[in-house]
Amino acid sequence: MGLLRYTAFRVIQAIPVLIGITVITFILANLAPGDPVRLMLQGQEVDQEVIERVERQYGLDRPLHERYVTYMANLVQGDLGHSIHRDRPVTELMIQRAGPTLLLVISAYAFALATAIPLGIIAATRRNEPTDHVSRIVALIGVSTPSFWIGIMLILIFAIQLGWLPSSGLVYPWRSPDHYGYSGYLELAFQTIRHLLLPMVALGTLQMATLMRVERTQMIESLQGEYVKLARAYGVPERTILRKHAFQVAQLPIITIVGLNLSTALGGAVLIEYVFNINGMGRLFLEAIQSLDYQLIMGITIVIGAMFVIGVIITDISYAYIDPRVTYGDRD
Amino acid sequence: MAIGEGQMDTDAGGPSEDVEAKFGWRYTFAKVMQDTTARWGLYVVAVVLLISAYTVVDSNLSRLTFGAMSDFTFAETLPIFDHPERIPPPGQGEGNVPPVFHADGSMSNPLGTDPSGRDYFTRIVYGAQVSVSVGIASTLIGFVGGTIIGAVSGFYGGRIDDLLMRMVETVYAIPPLILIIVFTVFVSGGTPDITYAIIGVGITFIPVFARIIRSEVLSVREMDYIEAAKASGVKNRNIILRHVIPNSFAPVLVYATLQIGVTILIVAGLSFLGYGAQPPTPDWGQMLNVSHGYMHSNVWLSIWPGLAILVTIMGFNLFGDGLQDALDPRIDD
Repeated sequence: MGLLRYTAFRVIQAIPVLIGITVITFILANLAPGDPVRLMLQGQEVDQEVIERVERQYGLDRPLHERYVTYMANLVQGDLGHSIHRDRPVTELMIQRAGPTLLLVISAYAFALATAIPLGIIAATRRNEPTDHVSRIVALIGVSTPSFWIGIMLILIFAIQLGWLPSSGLVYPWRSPDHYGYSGYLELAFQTIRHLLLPMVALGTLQMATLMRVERTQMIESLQGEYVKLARAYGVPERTILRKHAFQVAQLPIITIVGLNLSTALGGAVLIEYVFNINGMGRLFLEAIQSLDYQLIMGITIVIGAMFVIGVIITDISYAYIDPRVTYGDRD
Repeated sequence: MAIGEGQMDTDAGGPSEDVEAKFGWRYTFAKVMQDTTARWGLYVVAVVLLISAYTVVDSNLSRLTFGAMSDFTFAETLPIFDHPERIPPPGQGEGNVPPVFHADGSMSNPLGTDPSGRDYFTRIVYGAQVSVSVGIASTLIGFVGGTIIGAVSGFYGGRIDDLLMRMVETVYAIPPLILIIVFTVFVSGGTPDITYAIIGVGITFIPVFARIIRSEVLSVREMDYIEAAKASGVKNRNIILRHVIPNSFAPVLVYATLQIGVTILIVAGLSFLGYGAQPPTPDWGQMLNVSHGYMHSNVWLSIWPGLAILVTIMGFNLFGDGLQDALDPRIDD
């Protein structure tokens, strides 16, 4: 199967998953004992008449499968429903909050990859030397520490004790400098980085550590491969072996982990946004959960699920692209 | 196929005796103990497990002896412990006492007290129980479920693979923290509890294992020795059990020990946000939730529970690393 056909195939395959996500979310949201309107009011006394009118208005009096069909019909058109609690369209609420989360997650990944791959390779090539030990300790602490606690510690040190960096909020590079009262784009860029630094490190550390461990293990295995021994026997320079033979084979699991960890990163964003007071989708999710705004909760869960699915498709395609050993589809 | 070549001779002819010995539990244990860092990891895990076991036994014994309504515990009689949950009456215990090495600290509360005046050391010690039990239980569910699904899916390929992987991906697509919060809040009808968190975490981790073992199986499947086994008429079930799983197993087993750590991380996050363990349960994440409001006035409240989480997870990770080296025949010494 050609790569292009595989890509198309993979996209079509994702459709059942996307439908599955909506089903799970819909079922979970309707598992709640009691009706959503009452749940939303959280024990406040309201006339039965009022509740029934609200239910009729939003179609909550109809059976579950009918509501699901209506929901899906709207979803296909990009309409994620209407938040009863906030009296605004869910799509609109989410678009406002998507930017900060994307900025946070992408920069955390950039930080993680930029540090993990070089450190992993260095650790593997200098196995059991001091460099290896130091990088292993860093990775070990990284995978063993809750991201939100790293965030709290970073705030304690760099914001409260030293006062170097801000402890909350983000500056968005897509806004004009005038919005913040900055002198120009240079200051805007500087402030963006200043605000992003702590949450980026807090969210990226776990990713960095995970990737580094995998990179190290894979490089060690790869360097012990028969093809590396053969290349050495032929007198291929060590640098070339590292770059051309060992490195490429070792990257396959890295790509898997990057794809898989997208989910952890998006979940971690909820915690980091909470700790750093960032108005992203994670905070919106927590606010929605707190007010039991179930239309909004469903919308966020579905969109984050969809983001992950797209990430996995990209992973699988690059997988097939990089490793010619992996064959797909037609067996034997 | 460099990776598989080393095992060709043993796999084709059936395991010989010294290979059997090399994979035995005693051999693995001995090898883990040889590794200094892995040994320390094991010690940390052992200490944390013993502490959890002690607190479970103590609270149950106390309940049996003094009745379910009594909040007295045997541990209180020891000079180092206080009651983990009971808030001292006004005027008796001071809140926000700093740790012992601080000028205002005292030996009776070595780690200080929380804002309600409870001994922080006792609460940290009792906190091990929640993290460890949730971590191990949910990882086990994920490990067993994921290995079965992943191996079958990767080996057979085709329709079975498609169906299983789409189901797995569906659950996996939603970040665990978000899925568990939604699950916990809706299933409990707005009153979250640690029990819902355990079930939620358990289910959400099946896909992680399934995908990892499947991607291993995908490359193992292409190996010559699988071809050889097929050609000599070995049943599919036996190929999966005797060749595919053992050869894909090492990364998954290591992932499982690391996953206990990840689970403890997630549960800490859940409790930190208020959707895991509920007060007055002494749980590290829940304690960090409380201390978040005291970041400016009492730094220590935020430091101790985090360190406890860090040390516990580090123990599991060090042990996992040692296990990896001991189990992986592909890494030469």
